[in-house]
Amino acid sequence: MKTLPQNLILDVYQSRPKTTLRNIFIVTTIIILILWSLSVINYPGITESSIQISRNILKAFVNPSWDLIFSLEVDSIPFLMFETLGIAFLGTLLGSILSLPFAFLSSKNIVGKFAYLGTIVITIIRSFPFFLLALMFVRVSGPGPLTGVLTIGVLSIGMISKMYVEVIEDIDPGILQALDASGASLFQKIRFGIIPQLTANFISVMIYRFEINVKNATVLGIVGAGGIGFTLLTAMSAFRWQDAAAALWGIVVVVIFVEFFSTKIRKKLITGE
Amino acid sequence: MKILCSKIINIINTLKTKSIQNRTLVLSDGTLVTKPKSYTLLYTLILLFIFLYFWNLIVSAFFQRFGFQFFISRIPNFFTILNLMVSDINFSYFERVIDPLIITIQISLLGTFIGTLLALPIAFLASQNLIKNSKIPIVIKFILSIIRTFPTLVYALIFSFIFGFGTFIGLLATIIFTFGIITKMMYEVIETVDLGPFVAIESTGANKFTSFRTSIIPQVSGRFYSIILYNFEINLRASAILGFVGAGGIGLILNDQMSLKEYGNVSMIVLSLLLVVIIVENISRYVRGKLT
Repeated sequence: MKTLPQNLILDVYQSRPKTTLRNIFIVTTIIILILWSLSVINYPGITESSIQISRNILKAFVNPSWDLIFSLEVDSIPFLMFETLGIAFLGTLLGSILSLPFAFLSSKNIVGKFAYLGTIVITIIRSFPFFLLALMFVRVSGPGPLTGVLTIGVLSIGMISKMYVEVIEDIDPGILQALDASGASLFQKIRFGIIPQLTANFISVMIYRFEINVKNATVLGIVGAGGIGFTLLTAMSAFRWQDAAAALWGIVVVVIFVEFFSTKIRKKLITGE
Repeated sequence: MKILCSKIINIINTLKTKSIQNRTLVLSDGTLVTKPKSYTLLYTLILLFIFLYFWNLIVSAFFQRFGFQFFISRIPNFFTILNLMVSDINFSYFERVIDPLIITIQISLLGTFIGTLLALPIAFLASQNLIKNSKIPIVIKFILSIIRTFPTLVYALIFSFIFGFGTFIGLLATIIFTFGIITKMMYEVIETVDLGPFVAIESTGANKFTSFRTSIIPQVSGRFYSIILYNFEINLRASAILGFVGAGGIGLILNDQMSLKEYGNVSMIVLSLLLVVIIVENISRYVRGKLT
């Protein structure tokens, strides 16, 4: 085995890329930005009442109101969490259906250079504040879970179609050529060439968005769009910490449950195991 | 009892062989091809059941109470606001937007920075491949997944009762949210790290700290920067709703103008936020391109 001469190793070591100057520049920029930002924070200080409230919140967390958790009536936690899940489920379904045209119309391999028009629309929907959207839908369907479904549905278009586009642009044209060569009709090409390439990834995107939508749906109630948020807000404003803690525990259990299964199913869909 | 059991097993076995027979094809050269079992029908049925249950709970209940006609007749209401937002757009309001916008950027910057500082040590502690034979990663991961369950707004809501209204609660909520999500993304990166270089450098006589700094850090730093930038973007977007609980920044004026029904101003606010988000997106795309 040949060993490198000692001075060559040293040469290589000495001519390594020098990043000190760049690092100093980056660090100073960050420090300046942070110092500049510090000016905005007005620390209100901890008063007697804030300590009292935090103590109450922590106490309520350990001992939430159990009769709200263990009942199945209209305003109980299980019922509201089912409603929240329903809002997220129907909303995701609506969003993923609405996303299909957006996604196909902004994929480069389908519409060519006009794709950027669709991309702009998708970016605008993605940045639309979702409380504003909820307030707009409250005018249509009144306060209630249906408003939540519509809001979540329209809001999901942004992210779902962005991720759909990535999947569509990854379509392997070789498979379509092979189907052409074997004399497949247009319908057969779509059925056996395109759909199998898309479904697994599309469903994975939908499940991922469902996970996010469950979290979004928990706060939608604050603007009166159904779900558990409204109960949370009213309980807190009335300082009923035990009821609020029950709602928070409901959110924790459902979100962790959904996250666990979503990760499992998506892994199975992508790797096939 | 034994006879009953064996009968049930017999029935299941015949069903199994039948389904295999149904799925088997004989090709022209005599070979047998068996299709893999498909659960599509079962999954579709389960999904359909869930769908009908939720449809009944939410949509049918609504139509039964108010009627379909009512819903259709109110659809134009949605477009009135949209129309007002486009036609009444008030460009002169931009002057009033700048200050809250800067506050929002500052909150997001600080929140991302402090959240990242807190996340770094925890992310290394939560990585299964660095901390071996210990329960610490599992415990930390469990606590993190609880932290991540609440949206930023819920944290801000809780803090608003403790600290009152102001930018401080926005900052706290942003820090906690950033901490939860960044730590997860970071330990996922760390768990894919190649530990070979670490062992190699340690075997040359370097101490643990030096070998860690020269082998692990260079492998993860690039991905870490892009995670941090991505989180900064998320925090900027989230700031628009933080105003609902009085957490300062652009969300506050957005909330005010929405309740005043000044939709021209609202669209100006949305537009400026969109502008900032697009600028930040492009900067971070540029930086990420440089890093990788």
